[in-house]
Amino acid sequence: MHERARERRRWIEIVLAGGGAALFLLLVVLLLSRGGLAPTLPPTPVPTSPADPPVAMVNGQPIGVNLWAEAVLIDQVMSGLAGVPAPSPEETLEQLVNQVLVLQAAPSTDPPSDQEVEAYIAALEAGWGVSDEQVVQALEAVGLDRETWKRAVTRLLAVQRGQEALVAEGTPIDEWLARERERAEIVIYRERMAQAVAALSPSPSPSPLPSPSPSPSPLPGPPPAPDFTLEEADGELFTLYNYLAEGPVVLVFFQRCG
Amino acid sequence: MELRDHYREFRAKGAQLAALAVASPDAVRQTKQALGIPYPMMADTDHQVSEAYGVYNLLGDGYAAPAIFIIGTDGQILWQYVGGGPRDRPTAQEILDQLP
Repeated sequence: MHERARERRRWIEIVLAGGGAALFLLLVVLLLSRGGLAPTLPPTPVPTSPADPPVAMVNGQPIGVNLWAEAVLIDQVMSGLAGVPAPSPEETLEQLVNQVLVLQAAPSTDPPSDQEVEAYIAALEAGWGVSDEQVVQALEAVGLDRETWKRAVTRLLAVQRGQEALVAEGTPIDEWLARERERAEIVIYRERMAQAVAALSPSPSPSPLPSPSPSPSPLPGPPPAPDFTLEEADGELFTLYNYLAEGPVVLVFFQRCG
Repeated sequence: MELRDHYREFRAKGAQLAALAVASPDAVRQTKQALGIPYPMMADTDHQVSEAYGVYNLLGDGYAAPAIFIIGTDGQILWQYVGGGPRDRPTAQEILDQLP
């Protein structure tokens, strides 16, 4: 496939995957556009926990095999919900490496509150058009629970904040990340990764979403589109649900204006 | 502005177009006038709506990713397309084809 088309497809996949993957879109794309995985450096002696040995070290900070395995499964579930191919385990690890880089560099802020995390989860589910129950079902199908996903989302929000703080300091995040990837000491333990990939449950493909069918279903339907009221350019108030009374609405998000 | 050019076809199918952008009200007003956009256009200045629809900052640029949501009269999202890049959006015809 043409390289540019392939890259674009990857963008779309990751955007659609939403959730875990979506926020790191930029990071992942940047990574992919710069030639893939970090170079493998010779392993150095590091303090490890026998129960959770690292699959990577980022400036001396370990990424444990358990965190990585969870992230791989979460990516699979979220991609399944969006109906797109999941990132490879290697790509998921690269996302984690980028997250650690951002968290290491960003000024420390308060952790996201439970309320913020729940609000973000609700927004994600609304964006995907699925209910919380459907997400929980898909997580359970690969042996995960909602709490695990919630931890991942909490982490995502923390990284997002870190990223915003870095941008606020005046550095475009893509430039910053490219520089950090060059500068940081990143060690990937590929042998351990390979072993762990083999140990992951065989093809835990997330159960497909129940398709919207007229048959009675015990699951609640997807949540409705969020309502909103905004002032129109001509000064009148626009309330989505008032317009819906007249017919379907095609909501168009412009990326840029002016 | 391909959507603008197909506005009548959307209306003929009973659908209304509405646009949002993470921008100041002034920027939105100027864009609407400059492009002659015939449908409502709003400034989502504090990006609350973009966030509610899960498209805010997806491209890491502090704006909404280009996206289309078709919302049915019962409030259900009938179809959506979230762009993976600044120019990644469906054609007007592709959107029209999705309308009930």
